[in-house]
Amino acid sequence: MSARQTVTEIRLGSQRINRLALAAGCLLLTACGSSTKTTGSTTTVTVTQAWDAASGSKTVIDPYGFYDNVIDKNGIYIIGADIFPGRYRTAGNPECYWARLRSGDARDIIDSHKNSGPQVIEIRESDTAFLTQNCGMWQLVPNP
Amino acid sequence: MIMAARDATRWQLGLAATVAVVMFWAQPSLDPTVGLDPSWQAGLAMARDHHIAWGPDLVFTYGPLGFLQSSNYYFYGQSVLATFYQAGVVAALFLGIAAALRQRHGAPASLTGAFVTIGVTVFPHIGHGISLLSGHSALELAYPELGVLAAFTWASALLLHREPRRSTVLTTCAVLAAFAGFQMLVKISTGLVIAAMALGVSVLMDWRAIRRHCITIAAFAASLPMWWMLAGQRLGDLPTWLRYAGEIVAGYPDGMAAPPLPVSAVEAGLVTLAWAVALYAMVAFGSPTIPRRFVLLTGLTTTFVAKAAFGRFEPWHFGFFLGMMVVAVAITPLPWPRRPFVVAVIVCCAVSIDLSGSPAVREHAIALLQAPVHVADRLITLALPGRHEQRVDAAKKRQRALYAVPDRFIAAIGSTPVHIDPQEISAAWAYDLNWRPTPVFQTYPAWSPTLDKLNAESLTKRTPLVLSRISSTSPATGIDGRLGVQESPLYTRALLCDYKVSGVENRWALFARTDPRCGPLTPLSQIPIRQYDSVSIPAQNGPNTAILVGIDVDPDIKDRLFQGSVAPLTNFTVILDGVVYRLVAKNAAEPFLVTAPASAAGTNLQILAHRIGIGRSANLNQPEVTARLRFYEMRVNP
Repeated sequence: MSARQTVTEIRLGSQRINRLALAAGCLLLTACGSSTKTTGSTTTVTVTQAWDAASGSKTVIDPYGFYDNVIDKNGIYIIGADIFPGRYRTAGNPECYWARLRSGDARDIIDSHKNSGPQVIEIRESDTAFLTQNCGMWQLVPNP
Repeated sequence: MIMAARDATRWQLGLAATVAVVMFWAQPSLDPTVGLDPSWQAGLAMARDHHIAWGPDLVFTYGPLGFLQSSNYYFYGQSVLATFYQAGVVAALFLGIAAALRQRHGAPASLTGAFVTIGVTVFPHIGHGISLLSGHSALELAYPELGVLAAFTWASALLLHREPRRSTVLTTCAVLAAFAGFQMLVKISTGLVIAAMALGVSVLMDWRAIRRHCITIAAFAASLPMWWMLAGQRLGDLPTWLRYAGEIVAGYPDGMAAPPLPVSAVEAGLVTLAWAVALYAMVAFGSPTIPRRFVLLTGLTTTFVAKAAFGRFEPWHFGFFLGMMVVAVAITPLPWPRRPFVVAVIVCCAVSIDLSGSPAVREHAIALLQAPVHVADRLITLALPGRHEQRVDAAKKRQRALYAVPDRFIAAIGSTPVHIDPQEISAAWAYDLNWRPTPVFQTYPAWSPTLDKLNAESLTKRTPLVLSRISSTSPATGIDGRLGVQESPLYTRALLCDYKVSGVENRWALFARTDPRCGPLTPLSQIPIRQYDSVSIPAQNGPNTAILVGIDVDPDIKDRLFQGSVAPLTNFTVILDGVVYRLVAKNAAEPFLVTAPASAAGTNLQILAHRIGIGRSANLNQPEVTARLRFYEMRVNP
């Protein structure tokens, strides 16, 4: 049940994975029938609208169905417990400061940076914790 | 039980088994760490130490003896008992392989073969096995699964015997069934597999032996309550535990399925298919040297192990399947020239799935080579006075440094019973808290309305304080990208309505129980919705109100089959303001928060969504998913 670490790992080749899985699934299932039932009456009707594909950059479940870790709060995060190791990107923010830590102590720094522009960092499995301050949202990105 | 050797004496076998344990009992990490998996292990250990009643007060995928599978040093008694269990499993596997090989080979050859086989088999069972994640926490042996393999070898030894005595057959079936009862209290699913195996052996030996079948079932039925009471549990709680354990086991395929499948699953599927075809061919065409009943048992075991491997496909789960293949091939009386070829094919399959090029191959090999050193260290730690306590104290100190729970929270908690939310149970161990959990003590396995309700009622009635680890994102997410407030809707509402936030600091929130402060759920609207559409969430009527939504999804036949029941290929999603979350489908109908009151600010209950939609993570040539959204408003007094 090591779900958290698993997801990082299975991201490798996720696009290929998805296509293969879907292709296999579709081949298997095309012949299968399906049934849907319609919902009943409603008391209130709200006008629906299509999603704007460009809205927002936060991704929890990506278009291929994989879970992408997100960090959008300040704080110290324990690797493996709070967040996955992996490559993260941020659009940046004024006074953004981050640090990869050897322990839970904010002064026990492996690497750190203060910058306002977009950044990409690699949080390693051997790191103990990750500190972020005023960086906005960090989004886990798939391995190339 | 079957005699493992005709000419080797018992002490020689015992010595060989001891050597096998020392050589192959790989266990590089014994100091508890933090995180999801170490936390449920801590929970299992604390449940024993705190004398928590399984059934009414605790239920999990493991049972009251689940603490035996952890090599981590939590408590001295737990460590000693776990040492015996784990060494016993490795020894039983070794002796089972030797017994099966002895049906066709001499004593030296069977013992040598058993050494080689167990060495190869243990490799994929080391922690995350062929997933090859690095890091010491990932390198612990999977003992319950090795227990299944051990049972398989002993059952096979019987089935490979040309003319076993009736008393031997009866004894083997009864002992396997009794072991199943024990193992069920360690890990529920593995106990059920062994029970099926015991009955399967009895039937395969002679399906007309009704008396033996009944004795086998009786042995299981008697073993379960016996071990239950030996585990310190009240007999009256056993039915309750069985009911909830059944709920956990039944919900696992849907609850833990994590589609889409990774690419290694396709390769693993092909390997499994090839294995199934080979078994079918052996049954259909027969072989003068391979008893059909042995092939059928292998097929039965394959079914269970494959279900476990693919139910939530993770490479190391498939490692257990590979381990079974290795053992099965090793003990199958194949003509000698074919055996190395088959083993080579399995190894190539493993390599093609995940092994190649990973630095963790080296870690696993080192873990195996260092096994004798670790065994010695473990025995010394348990034997020397004070050494175990030193290790425990050091581990607690490390964990406290990582968790950094504010001092004022720890002071406020004192000796008051506290539940840890949602999963970092290790904090209770590290800070020596008076842990009083909800029955499903990590929220993620509360994947059905029954379990969610059980947790909610327990929270309301039994737990004065809740210490909550705050998510890295807002709204909070659970495992696999679940929406935190949707994972266990009733539990979440109990936390919102029956508790007040005492403080939020350093990524921890402390909740204290208070008088109920929520009004009733007032229906606002019901709206049908289709995939790709979104609807506006009703506006909040002031800061002291919450908006909730229940989702009645309309699953089609493929959703019912392929969201985990048959294979995990797709699942439902909920989309809030364009962000997609995994939906816990069975709990979706229970209203969950989409707009939280101001009093939830800073906690995992905080959420403010404006639009909502539904979808699937993958479309298996299906029509658009449809659902009905039911919106509610609820007053929450500050």
